[in-house]
Amino acid sequence: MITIEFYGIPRLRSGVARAVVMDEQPRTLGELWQRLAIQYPRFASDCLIEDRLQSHYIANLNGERFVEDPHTLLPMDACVLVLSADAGG
Amino acid sequence: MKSLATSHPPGGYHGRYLRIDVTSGQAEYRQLSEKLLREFLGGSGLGTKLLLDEGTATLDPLSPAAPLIFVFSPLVGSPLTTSAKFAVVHKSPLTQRINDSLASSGFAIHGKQTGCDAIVIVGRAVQWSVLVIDDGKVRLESADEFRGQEIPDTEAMLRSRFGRDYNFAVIGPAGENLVPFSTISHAGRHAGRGGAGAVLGSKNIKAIAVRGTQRVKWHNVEKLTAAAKDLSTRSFGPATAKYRELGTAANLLVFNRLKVLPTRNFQRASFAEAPNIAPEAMATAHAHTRSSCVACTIGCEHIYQLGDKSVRMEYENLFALGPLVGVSDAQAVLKASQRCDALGIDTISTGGAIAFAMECVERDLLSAAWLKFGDADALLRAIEELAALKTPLGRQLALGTRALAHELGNDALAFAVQVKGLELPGYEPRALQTLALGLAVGTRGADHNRSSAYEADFSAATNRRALTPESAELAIASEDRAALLDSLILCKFLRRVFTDFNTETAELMRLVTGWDITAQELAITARRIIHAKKQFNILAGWTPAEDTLPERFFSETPHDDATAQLSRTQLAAAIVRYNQLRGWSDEGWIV
Repeated sequence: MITIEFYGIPRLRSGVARAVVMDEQPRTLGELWQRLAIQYPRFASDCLIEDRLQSHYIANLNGERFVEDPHTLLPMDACVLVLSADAGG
Repeated sequence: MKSLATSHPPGGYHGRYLRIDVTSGQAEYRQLSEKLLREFLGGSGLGTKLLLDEGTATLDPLSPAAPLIFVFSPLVGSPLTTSAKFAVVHKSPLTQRINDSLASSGFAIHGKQTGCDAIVIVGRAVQWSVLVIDDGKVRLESADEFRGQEIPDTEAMLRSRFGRDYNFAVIGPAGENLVPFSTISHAGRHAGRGGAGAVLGSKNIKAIAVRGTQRVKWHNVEKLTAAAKDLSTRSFGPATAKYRELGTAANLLVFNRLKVLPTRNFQRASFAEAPNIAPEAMATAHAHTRSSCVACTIGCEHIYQLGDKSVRMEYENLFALGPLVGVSDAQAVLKASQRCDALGIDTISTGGAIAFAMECVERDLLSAAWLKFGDADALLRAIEELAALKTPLGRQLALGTRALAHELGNDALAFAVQVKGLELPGYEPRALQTLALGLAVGTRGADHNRSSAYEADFSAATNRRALTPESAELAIASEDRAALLDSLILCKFLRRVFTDFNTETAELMRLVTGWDITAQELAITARRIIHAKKQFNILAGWTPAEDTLPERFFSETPHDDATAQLSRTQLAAAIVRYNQLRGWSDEGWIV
């Protein structure tokens, strides 16, 4: 099971704060985006480009490591955070 | 007033600054050479150079001789989005080091239209005054009726006296009382951090009123207009969506999740009640609108209605007056923010000083049993006392964290969360270690804006929990770009609109000035500006021991994140590498 937490603009675009992918866990980050693109088309159109996030957004694995490469392997039961890459405040 | 004919200044510039001695009321234009303008651009860069040339690094920042410098830029008044900005540069009464604040909107445009690229103010007015600059003519008027007035009331009274042709920069009661982290405000925005308000107050100046008709020329109007249109179009896109649609307060929940949200004086890195004060929660209880500075297409200002008051809420206000002091009441956080704005005090330093004091109370170092983490009434009371300086605790809080720690002794400095006296912003450095480096070495003190090194930490380029000497390159890259943004001047929120920042802004500068300026030249300019800031600090007494973080960050981990460990040795090694890359000695001296 992969849990996805959306923050900021990704949350606005997807319309949800949290999603879960239970069937057939995606192996990679790119596969996860492809699955989410089907379920959240506005998120896909505004935040994704092909099999990766647009440069203005970034993913984080389990609250620890920031990742970009769509070939990044997803650990079992990973939590993927999706947020703005610009942390300016 | 002695005038100065400007012979063919470069596009975007008047080629002169206005130096005003408010003791005598005398003012004169002084020429700015094209070489100097090209080397320092405007804003923070030009201000630093002018401050250095005034030769005042060793002066008391609140003395009459200490200058306060308002600096415009070649882009001010152009059609380029976010260009209506000005810098305020001075020696800080809080840090005793260089301070450059930025603020926005009409004062930048109308200040420049008085016919100068910068306004240098020295002296001390004989009576409490409004400094009026009317198309280059300077006079002082009595400000007696404004004494003690809060900022919004002062602005309203000034508009009543002077009319809507004028724009104003104003201090509140905190600036009048010389609180060393008081601000200068214009149209609801603040030149904050570092105490510019106190410096203006020390000159017996309550407000500056500017009006002017003198415009500069642009080198290539047609292409500049086209470039501006293109930049505006891009500024409406995804690069700025976060700021436009949510504002900086969008950081709160994700920082909380990542455990980089400083809580209770940096004892913790997450705040269980964060959802209570998130913008989503605020918007359900308070009417919410957006606004923007003059000449800005991003519109990052998110304003909440609190009774009959409108409160701009930014992430730093939210963090400093919420989690940092343990307060989870959204209404109280809005109220605290509104009070800071009205009184004219920097919210980060205010929250930082109060949070430090709250921990001192916990440790029995300070006798103020009512001042507890999480107590909203206590927060609001502390803010009022700090600005008014009428109570012993108020006077202590108004010292700022570092000075209060020195006064209290007993190793209080270990948890006085500041660098060079400037309180830390809302980013947990033990979990964002490239930023930890940037905060430690920054010439202004702990300033996320001048560093911007959190960009590296929020990327796949680095391990945010493991500082390495290679982190220094990343910290330098973001610091250099920040220096350029603050000198050109363009808003930092525009930065991700650019694909190749130096190349694209060099082109904009060519269109404005006519200079054959290149990306490489801008890279050198950025370094020169950082170097000049360091030079000022060395003259002002900087030592290598200042470039570090408080002991708390080495000897403790956040209570809720035992893995967020910052190594003193690793930070020291990264600082050495930073200094080497800057061309300085390993310790940071200019050689």
